[in-house]
Amino acid sequence: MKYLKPKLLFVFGLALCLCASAVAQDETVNVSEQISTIKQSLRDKIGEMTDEYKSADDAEARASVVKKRRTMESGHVQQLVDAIEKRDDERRNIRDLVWFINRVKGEARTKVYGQLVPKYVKSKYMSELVRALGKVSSPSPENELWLKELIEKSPIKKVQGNAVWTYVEYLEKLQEETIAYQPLLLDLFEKDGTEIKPTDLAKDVDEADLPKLQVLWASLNGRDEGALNNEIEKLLITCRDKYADVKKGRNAIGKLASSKLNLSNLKVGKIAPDIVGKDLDGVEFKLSDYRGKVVMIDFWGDW
Amino acid sequence: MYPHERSLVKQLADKPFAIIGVNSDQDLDEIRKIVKRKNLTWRSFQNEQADGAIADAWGIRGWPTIFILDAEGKIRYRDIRGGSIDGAITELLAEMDIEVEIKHEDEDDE
Repeated sequence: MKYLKPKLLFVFGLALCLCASAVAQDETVNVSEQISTIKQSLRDKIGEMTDEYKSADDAEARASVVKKRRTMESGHVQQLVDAIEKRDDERRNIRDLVWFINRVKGEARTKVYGQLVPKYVKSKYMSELVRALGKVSSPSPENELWLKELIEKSPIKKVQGNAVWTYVEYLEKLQEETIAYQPLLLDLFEKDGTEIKPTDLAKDVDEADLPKLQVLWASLNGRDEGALNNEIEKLLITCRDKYADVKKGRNAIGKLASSKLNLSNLKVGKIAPDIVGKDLDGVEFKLSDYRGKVVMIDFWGDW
Repeated sequence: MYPHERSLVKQLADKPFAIIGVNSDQDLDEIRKIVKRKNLTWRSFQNEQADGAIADAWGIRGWPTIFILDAEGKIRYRDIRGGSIDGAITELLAEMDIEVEIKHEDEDDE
């Protein structure tokens, strides 16, 4: 007995441990199943309501579908938040919250974000959120705000670097989407206290387009094409100088940024970057040797 | 393209004007022969340089692509072709108070 006792204790202890971890694992499995169900339900409901929206007769009916959808989304997000609290798995919790970021809008989306950031902003898995924000198809002010917050608060260089790069892509997208209406778009709305109101100019615009234009207007936040270009250039320089070796997929961000910066120097109106290299006989010369002359550069081949 | 360029170089020989080529052919010996045979008197970079291809750095997607820079080295035209090239050069030289009238004689390429 004397010798058996410690062994027994050990076995007993081991059994207890296994049992406890099995319970914890069980709980995790349970929560994960629960979350799959919530996701499936959200997918189904979104499908139904999209059909409903398409077959709605008028603007009023459409607005009521949208309202219903927002309420539905908030309900699902609440369920998700409750479920996730019971699971101690940073990676999967982040992944599930991010899954919602790209599928719900408005208050529900803000709520998901509110769950993600205070709790997990220091996590390396926040790359998932950066990636999700990069996939968003159209600009919105909160996307920009969120990227800025990630850049500022994440202690992980990879997350920061990818967030800066995604911010560049975000601003490029904003530029692309608004360039056709600039500078008119900047004058279509005005702020009245906290409320955004269409100006007289907006009378000429199709009413159905106004909500989308308002989001773009808010996203621009007073910036015109030149201001956006300046911001993009600054961010690219940050990518090149500070995050050069951070990877985005297979590529280093520094290299991606350098080639974008070079290309932006090749627009009409910019001073051409110098070319230093060998001529056809192997003798080195420079484009800048020809300063003071009108120079025609011909990219040619005899084929 | 060659006759047009030869004609520009000849007519503007005493003006502050230059053509610089960036050549993308693979076979250097072959292209040197062509340069000689077709009397292409202006200088060309080899596209492939030690630090990469010039055409990549310049975002070139099709050939030929032509840029015209003013005397300060500023890009004033890109992807310009045909007759509008003459107008562009005339304009940029006029900014330097140099009046030219570019005319091309029909010339055979061979």
